[in-house]
Amino acid sequence: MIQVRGLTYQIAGKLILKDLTFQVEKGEMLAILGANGAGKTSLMRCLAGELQGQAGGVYYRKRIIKSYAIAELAKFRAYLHQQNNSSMAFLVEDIVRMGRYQQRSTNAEQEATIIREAMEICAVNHLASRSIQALSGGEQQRVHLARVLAQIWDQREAILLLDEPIANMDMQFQHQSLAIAAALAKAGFTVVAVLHELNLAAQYASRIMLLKAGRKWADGSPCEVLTPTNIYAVFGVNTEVEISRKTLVPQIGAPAISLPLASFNSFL
Amino acid sequence: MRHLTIYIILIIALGIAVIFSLGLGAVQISFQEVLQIFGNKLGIASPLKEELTTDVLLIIRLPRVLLGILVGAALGIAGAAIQGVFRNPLAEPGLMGISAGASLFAVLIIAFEVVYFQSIASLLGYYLLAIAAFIGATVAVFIVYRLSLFQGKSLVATMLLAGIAINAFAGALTGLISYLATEQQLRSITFWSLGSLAGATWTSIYAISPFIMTAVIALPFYGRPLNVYALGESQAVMMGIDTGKLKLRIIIFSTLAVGAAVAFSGVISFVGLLVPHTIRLFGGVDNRYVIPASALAGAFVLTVADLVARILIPPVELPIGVITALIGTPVFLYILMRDKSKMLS
Repeated sequence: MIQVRGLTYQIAGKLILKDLTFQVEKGEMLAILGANGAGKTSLMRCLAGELQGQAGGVYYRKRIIKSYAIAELAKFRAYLHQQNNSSMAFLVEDIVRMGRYQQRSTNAEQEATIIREAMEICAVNHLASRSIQALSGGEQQRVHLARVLAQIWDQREAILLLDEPIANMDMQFQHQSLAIAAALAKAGFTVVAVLHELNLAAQYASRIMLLKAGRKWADGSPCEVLTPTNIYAVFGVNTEVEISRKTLVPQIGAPAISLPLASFNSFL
Repeated sequence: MRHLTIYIILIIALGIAVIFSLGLGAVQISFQEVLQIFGNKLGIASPLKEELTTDVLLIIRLPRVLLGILVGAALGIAGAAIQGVFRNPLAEPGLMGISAGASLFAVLIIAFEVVYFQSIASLLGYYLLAIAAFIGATVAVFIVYRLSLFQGKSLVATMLLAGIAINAFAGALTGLISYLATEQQLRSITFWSLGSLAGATWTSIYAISPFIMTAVIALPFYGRPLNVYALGESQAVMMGIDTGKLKLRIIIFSTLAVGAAVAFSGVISFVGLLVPHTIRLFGGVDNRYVIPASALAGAFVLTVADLVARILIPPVELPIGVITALIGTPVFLYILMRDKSKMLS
């Protein structure tokens, strides 16, 4: 579904992504993990067609992404941003409905069903007539998730790109949001999500890619990729990894570290 | 439902303002007389005995009221649309350099007409000033827009800063020329820079209506994409909007409308800023409503302001920009204070 061939992206002479090649098939849910500044968001923006690399490119259905019109892409590719502007006090339901901007073929009844279902699964239906500005960060993120889902709700083979979708959410909705994405992937969606929670990625993603300084460090099933060596190489953290005997999912535990105050604060 | 109510209220308010504005002034014309004169024009009523009243209504009052409606609608609708483009309720068409560019060119004409522009002036007559102002507005916006382009995309933040810079520069040049101007020219400059509808004639109505009507008809269609655009530029692209085209078209339509308005009425401040804001306080931020409602409200505000400017201290006519600022600001602040808490719920 998505093919990345030799993608290199740099900005102001600084290399952000270096010669990335991989593909994501429909039915897969790929989690992209990496340290801050590893190039995860740039990669997502390239995957979405917003940024063009200096070399190589991204292909959807074997067609280079540049050849699609903006409106055409919006019909089957949705993108959840890390940050969303809420300087205008739109109502929650209006925001979710905006996701349907390009899907004009659906009739009003269908649209209403889509909006309702997307809001229900993201548990924002009770906030429908509230202003987005009155909501907490996690609630706002759920509203935007509902909007992004509504955009491709009725597309069989859509591409769903999620950039840190659960960063501000509580535990319940972290699980619920990833479960929604996993279910959609099973139904034929192609899902790519940037995540920071290793354990959640291991539980919900079918495949994990580790990004280090714009290069692909590891790519494979959660068991293959999430080893103490790989994790140390990418995040610089010592971890213990156990494969759960019940679920065969790796469980990553990081012991607490202690820093003597005098080593970083010269005042106290 | 709520929006429909607001539209109806605005239309009724505008109608009442128009009736009063047609009737009040140095020559009082009653509502019956107004109806009779219009009826006579349509061939369904006998002509009015007083020919002076008929002339005052048809030649002086009516074009002036129409100019007020057109200019007000232009300022209101362009204000709403430009605030959408900047994703900022504090933006206004003036930020794009429209008023500053128009002022500079107008002041140039006023100050140097006698010396340099006489041959053109005799050809274009009174409209030289309007044409120059329109060109000035367009040139300023073009410069601001060009400065904001980066790799083919217009950066909104850069546009804002470039607008401020061009405003300051044009303002400085205007100030410099004013400093060199004679007493008589200074009066014209001041009058022009505070705005007035006194120049209204049927010819000016014919001249500006195509520009303003194009914008008033076209801009409401951008309400829906502007809503999506409000969530962020990248978000809008992901939802299928060509944001470059969207911005450019809105800027063109707004410049046409405001440029034409400024050309014939001078600089009328505050309407483009306060009208859309007030409209939002009453009915929410949905641009599908804010844009058309701002046109109606702008027309209403300017009609009332012009009426006040004419009848407050007769026979002196106050600059309309002074009235819009004097009345508009306290009203706006009152609404703002009242709704401060509501904005967060």
